[in-house]
Amino acid sequence: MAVCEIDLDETLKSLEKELVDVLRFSGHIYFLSLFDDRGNLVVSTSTNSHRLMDLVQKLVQEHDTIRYVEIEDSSHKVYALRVEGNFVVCALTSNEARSGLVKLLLHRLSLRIKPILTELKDVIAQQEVTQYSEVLRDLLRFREFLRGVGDGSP
Amino acid sequence: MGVLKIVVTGAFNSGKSTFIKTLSEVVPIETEAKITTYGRRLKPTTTVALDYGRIRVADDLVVHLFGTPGQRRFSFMWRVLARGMHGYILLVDSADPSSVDEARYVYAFFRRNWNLPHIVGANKQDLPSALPPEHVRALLSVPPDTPVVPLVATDPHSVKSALLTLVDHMIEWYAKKSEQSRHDAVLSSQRLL
Repeated sequence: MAVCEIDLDETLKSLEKELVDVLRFSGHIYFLSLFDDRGNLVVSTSTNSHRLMDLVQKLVQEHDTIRYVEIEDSSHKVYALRVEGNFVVCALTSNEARSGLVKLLLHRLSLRIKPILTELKDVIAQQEVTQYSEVLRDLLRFREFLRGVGDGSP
Repeated sequence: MGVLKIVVTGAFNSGKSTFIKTLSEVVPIETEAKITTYGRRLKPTTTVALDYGRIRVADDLVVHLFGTPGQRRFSFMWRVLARGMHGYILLVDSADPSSVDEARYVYAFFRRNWNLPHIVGANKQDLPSALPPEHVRALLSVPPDTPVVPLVATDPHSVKSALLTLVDHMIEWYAKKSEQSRHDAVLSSQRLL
């Protein structure tokens, strides 16, 4: 299992100029939605450092996409969760750093959504004009294709 | 170029990602997408936040599979991903009765917005606590003419069978629509005469 290496200082600095929507509650609670590299949703509510362990346990219990968890306490007080799919969720203990982390993660999330939507925009838009008979013809071909795969057929 | 678009939807943890992942064991599926400059520093390609797979049936026919995010707060994505789809499969975690309300919400959302052929996959039938498909049908008020199939999303044969059921149902639906369309066209031309 490889680990994504993130240069936090550089990334956070580069994000300072970007407007990122951060949902913030009660001054200390941040709401995050994360995805691992396989597209599996990993939901996380980041609050404060002493609740981080609760979060870790909750993640492991509730999400079978997380195979194991490793906590590292570096000089920068970075906690890292290793998630299946090589995605790493980091949490920093200070409020400032945590705020930066939220921006980082939301930014990464938006980066993951936007390219595919852009790439597939034509695909998403073009279908509405397709005629029933054409769809029917394609479905019949798809069915024949499906029947022929996975059963040892050529 | 013929293009078909099928959406895999359902509540959180209903098995959407697993369904597409398992299907890739039966059918060659392309899932990688190029990412932007920032992400490229981490790795060259990544699976995106939504599940996506592309099946190349032939040089002139491609099938796109989209898995929707499971949570309501991402329902804006459901509309985006479902636009232009030809059919969908709703997955339900049959072994978790507490998820039924959420499944009902997703199902109502899709039925309200798209009158399209679909089936319901009663997933996790390998678990002892799984509700049988007919119970799932009753809980979700699935119409009688809509198939509710038993499903184990980790089993390639089960996934393939479910997809074939969906395709069969879509063929039936589009055949009727096509016939109706032709019928309407004939009536229209007769009126003109």
